[in-house]
Amino acid sequence: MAATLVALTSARSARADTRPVSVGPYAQVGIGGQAMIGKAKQHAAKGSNFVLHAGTDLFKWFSVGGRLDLSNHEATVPAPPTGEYMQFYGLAGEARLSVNIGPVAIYAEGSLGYSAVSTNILEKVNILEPGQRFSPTLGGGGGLEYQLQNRHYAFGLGGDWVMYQKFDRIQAVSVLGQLRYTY
Amino acid sequence: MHPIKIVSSLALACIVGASCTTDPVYVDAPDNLTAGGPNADPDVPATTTLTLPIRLEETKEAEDRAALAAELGVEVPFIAVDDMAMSLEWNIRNLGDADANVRILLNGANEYFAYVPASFVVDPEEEPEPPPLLGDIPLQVPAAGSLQGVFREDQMREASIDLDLITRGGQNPFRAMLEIDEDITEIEVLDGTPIPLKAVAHLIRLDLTLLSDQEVVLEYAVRLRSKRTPNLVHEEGLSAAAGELTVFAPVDYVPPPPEDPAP
Repeated sequence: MAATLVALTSARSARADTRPVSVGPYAQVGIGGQAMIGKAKQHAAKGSNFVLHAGTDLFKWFSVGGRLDLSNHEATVPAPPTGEYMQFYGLAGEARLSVNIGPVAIYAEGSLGYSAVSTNILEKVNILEPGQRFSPTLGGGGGLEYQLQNRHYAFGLGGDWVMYQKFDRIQAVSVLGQLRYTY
Repeated sequence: MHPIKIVSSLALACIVGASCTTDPVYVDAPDNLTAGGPNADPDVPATTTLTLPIRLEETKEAEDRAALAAELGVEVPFIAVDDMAMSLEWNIRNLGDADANVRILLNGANEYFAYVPASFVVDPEEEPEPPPLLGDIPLQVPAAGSLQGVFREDQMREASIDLDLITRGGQNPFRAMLEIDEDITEIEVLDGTPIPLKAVAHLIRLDLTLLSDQEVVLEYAVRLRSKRTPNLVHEEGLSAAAGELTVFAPVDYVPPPPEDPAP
């Protein structure tokens, strides 16, 4: 019985290890939640986060591409106003390193880009200067991906961090469920 | 459809969607308004004025406005009633140790005229003052507590229409305030050309009065959504340099004197 189990496990492992993975142009979508950290935490509630990635794998372990971020938060500045929402839009270039262990990939990524905020509501707490809507951003993150039997698709769970350089250097972290398609 | 094409389309839709929205601009009150303090004069109500930070008019806009005015035969304002949506959110803090009875009165001005209810009173002992454009609702603020509220966008739009009805339309203020005019298509002018809705002026100045029997503080913020591109509100708001903001010079509206009864 034990021998059978070992044989089956080995067989499954062997199949998983040889699971084919596409390498090339990719697209990825991530949906999750984002929270401000540090001094911005008290002025913005936790919100939703939506990220699109597109790029190409230069090697199996290294990719470059771009990403589009959208996040939505309720502003929790001192009243008035109350119950108002703001959105952050980001566009960035990114690079990613990954290590495959069987069907699972561990990855880390970094990004540099530009972001915009939809309203001036954070002026009230001096996070924004009057008229300021754009900021360079620095980001990083990592996570795990599980390669499906289909060589093109992978599911993942990732975490991201971003700093808005000109928005008084406020920072946010997010957790995202992801689906990646590699052509 | 190929997944990469789907993602590209989604990205494009997100960018276009984000750039097409009319995001609000918040204008914080430059000063809080305090009323009913121990040193307050009960005969002098606490008042404050906020002129909206409107950017300068572009040459093309001025030309288009002049052409529209010639076509309609009436003056056309830079900021018409449907060019912008405005709301005002307020917060009253009661600093006293007893419940406060408070009223907020909101009046204001468009590019042409300011509404001053007292101007309609010939004999203060015989005539009541007409109501303000908005507010004058009794509010009770608990001791050491606070109360929040908002003058909504639809109420502000109605106030803008009422002001033009009273001033350029010559309507009795009691009638203008009591009737709902949100669906009007034009303002009738006695012996004059009717003013179509696209020539009805938007409020560009807010005059707030705070009445209270306890010491209270009114904090407020104005939320503006421009419906025209480029945004009518200066991106730096009240912090903008003076020369970059439109200077409006509305005059206090004084109604024509009542006609003498026929001999």
